Amino acid sequence: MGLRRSQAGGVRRLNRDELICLVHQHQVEVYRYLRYLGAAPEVAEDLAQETFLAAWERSRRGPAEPIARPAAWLRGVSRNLFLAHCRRQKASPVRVDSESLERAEMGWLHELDGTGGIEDYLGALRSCVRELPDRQRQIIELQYVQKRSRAQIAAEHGLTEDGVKTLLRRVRAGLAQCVQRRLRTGGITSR
Amino acid sequence: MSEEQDRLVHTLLEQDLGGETPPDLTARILRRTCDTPRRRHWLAVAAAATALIVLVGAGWLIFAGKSYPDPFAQGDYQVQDGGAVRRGATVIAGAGGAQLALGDYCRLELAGQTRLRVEGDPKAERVFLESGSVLCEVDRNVGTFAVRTDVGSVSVTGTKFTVRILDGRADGNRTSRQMVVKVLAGAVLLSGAWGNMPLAAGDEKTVGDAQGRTVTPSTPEKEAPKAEKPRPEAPRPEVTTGTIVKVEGTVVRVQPTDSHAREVGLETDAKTAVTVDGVEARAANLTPGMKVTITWGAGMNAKVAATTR
Repeated sequence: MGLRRSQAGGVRRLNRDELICLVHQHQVEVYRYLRYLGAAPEVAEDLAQETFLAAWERSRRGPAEPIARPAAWLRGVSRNLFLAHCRRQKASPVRVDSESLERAEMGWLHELDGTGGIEDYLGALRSCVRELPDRQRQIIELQYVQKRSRAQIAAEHGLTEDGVKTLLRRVRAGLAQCVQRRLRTGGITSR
Repeated sequence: MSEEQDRLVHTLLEQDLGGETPPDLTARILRRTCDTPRRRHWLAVAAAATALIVLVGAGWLIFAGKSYPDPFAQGDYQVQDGGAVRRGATVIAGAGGAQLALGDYCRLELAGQTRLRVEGDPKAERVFLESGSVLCEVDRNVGTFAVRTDVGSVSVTGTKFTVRILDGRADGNRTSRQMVVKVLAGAVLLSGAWGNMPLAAGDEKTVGDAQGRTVTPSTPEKEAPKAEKPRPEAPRPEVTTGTIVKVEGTVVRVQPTDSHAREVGLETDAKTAVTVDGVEARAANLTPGMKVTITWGAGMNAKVAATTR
């Protein structure tokens, strides 16, 4: 079931089914976007809900105000909600301001522009991880699967902690390039 | 590689390899929309179940000897004319602020020096904010709650918001006042002589002078004063609402909603805070036809909230 669209092509009043459709279509992206901005998992979960409730409330205000680009609109709302959340937290572990969030949005658009969205990006990333040379894949697994500290990884691989940090950053840069190559050439396989 | 690109890859690896799956929020969101199911069958079932719960609940309350709770305050406060906090009483918060509980579902935080009168009825709680600022947290689906001021009123359809009264210029026996409403969670309905205005989480709205009216502090029974035409040499209001009629380079020209007011020019620069449809934007995104609310600061500093509707 599609969303009702205004003459300008935007989302107008939502009924229950259309809200479900909107949530199904965008919830993963909104959640991953909030995590990308720096929100902890439970915060991302709460703010993603608030984001869709804002869309629901807005759609019920009246016949005007179509949401022309739902994905961008939802990201904008979630960004503002995250900023407000961080300002309310006296001891927030994440330092954010509107400028850094704006940069983050630009980075998101830059990476995902012209692709099939975040899930395609993730699918390509999985494929790229599988293709990493053994040593790099081990480092990635120690960091992200086994959640080892940099000190532990450094000890196992005879590196300094700074060396591990630099290596991880280099591997991620290689993965980002690999993802872009795959997305541009359409070579996406998911797990 | 940019910092943002690195962060995206890092976050996705952390989620995907760390076994973190985005949750399905559909059921939780639907529960919070309070939408009515379409099928009459389910309506009937829901109505019957509700009636049963109400009957059982009422019976339990009668047998348990419990009644609807009286207004309750704590913290630094006093009640005008003395006595306990009750409906009709005016609570005056001291410098340390005070907390007020109404009907077990409305919790209010009064900032220092706030004056607020307790009104309303059981399950239809209401306060009249005379001055100061109040943070309200209201549980859903228990009863109604509203904050009235002599500028307008805020009815709750959501959970958490603040209302602040700003006293402005004095003019004879009349005082220019503004009401600032900020929604922290859920949604509220803002009402006044200008009509209704729903606000969602994250929204902040200032009303009063922007609506082209000057109001006098009123008694609760007094009707809201009628709109006045601005005087010819009136000082610039703190908030201007209107429609963008022209954009000339960095100058945005706005025709205020009040047809008697003259066109307003706003010189924008990189520091001008701009939002379009609630999303942060740049002055360059402002285009003729957009509705705008300009909150003037010192000098030409201003915040511009534009909508494309």
